[in-house]
Amino acid sequence: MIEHADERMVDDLRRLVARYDPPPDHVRAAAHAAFTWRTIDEELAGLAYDSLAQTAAASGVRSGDTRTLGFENDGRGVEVEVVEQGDQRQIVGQLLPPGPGHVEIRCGRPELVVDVTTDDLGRFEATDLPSGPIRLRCTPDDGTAMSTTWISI
Amino acid sequence: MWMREQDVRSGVSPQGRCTLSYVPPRHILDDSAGRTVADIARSDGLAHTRDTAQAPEEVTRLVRAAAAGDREAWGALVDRYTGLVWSVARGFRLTDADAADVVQTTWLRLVEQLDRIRDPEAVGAWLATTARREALRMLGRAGRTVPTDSDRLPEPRDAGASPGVDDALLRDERDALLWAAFEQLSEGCQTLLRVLVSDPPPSYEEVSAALEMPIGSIGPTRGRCVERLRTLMAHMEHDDRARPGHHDRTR
Repeated sequence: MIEHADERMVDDLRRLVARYDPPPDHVRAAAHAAFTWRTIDEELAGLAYDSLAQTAAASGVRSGDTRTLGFENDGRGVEVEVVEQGDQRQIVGQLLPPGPGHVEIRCGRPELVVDVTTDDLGRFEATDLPSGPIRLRCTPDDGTAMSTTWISI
Repeated sequence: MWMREQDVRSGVSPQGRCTLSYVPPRHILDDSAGRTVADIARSDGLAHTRDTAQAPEEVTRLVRAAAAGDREAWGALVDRYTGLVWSVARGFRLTDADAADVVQTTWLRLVEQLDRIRDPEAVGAWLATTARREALRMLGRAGRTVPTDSDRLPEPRDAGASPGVDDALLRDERDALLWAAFEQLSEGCQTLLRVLVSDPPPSYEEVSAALEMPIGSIGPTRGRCVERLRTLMAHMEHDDRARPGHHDRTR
């Protein structure tokens, strides 16, 4: 009896959620479109460090406006500082090991690719990026391309 | 082939959407022609989640096909799991924009991991875990606050094509109360219930991953959350009646 009432309550909730808060069409469309970003056999650098995760875990205190991210795979990587400016993001980064190359910044929403060339120490910056998911495809002048995992900034 | 079978079973045209081995409940739930919620209740809820976990081979096949470049297989995965991923983000009370970012980041992660994923049949649980982590990350971000009600959920007052005006009003009032009480629940309860009622119904493993909760705890926790919801509704109904002018339904 009680369980039946529970089912009824959960089903009412299911009906309300289905009617009033289903995944928006643009969210579905973006998920379908995500497939176009498929890359094959590219070296992938995972997230090795996120200052946000550290601060949140340590104290529950919100971090400042700057967030540091580190991506790494097999001794290579890229480090990035992200500054929030409203809905825009500014990033400053460096290829590791340091050295010249270029970086494609791929933004997922809206879709956008920004190309930047690094200095001799692998440093680069980009401004006015949209917030949302991004990934960096880093190509050192003397090496092969490596992409970072996607992350929402 | 199996998709065709499902089309027949569910009696609706999927309109280009692959529905995997399961019948999406929304068209049933939107049925205002007389089937009661109780009729549906028996086939849904937690008990139902077992049925939806029935086709691991098909999920594995879809993941493998998508990894090989099959766009339709990708579309089938998106249709199967976007509801789940969205429910995780919304369960954490993220705004539309933040939830959209979490969902897209989660799918982009899957794209990049397609040919690396170790356990393709558990892709739903993988997506739920990824969405959970991204949602938590989003919550920790500078300048993020818990959204106000008006940011989050629309007012459930659209009577739609309900059978009778009086019934519709009664149901709307109850819906409004339920919705308001739901928003008062703890984050843990909101997340659990949101995920449980996501469309299509998730498997135990997916719920477990989304909540980082042992499978054995899901049922009892759900029971406590529903009980809490019922208590909140009773309190709010009482408060509402105590307030002057509660009969004015246009307030």
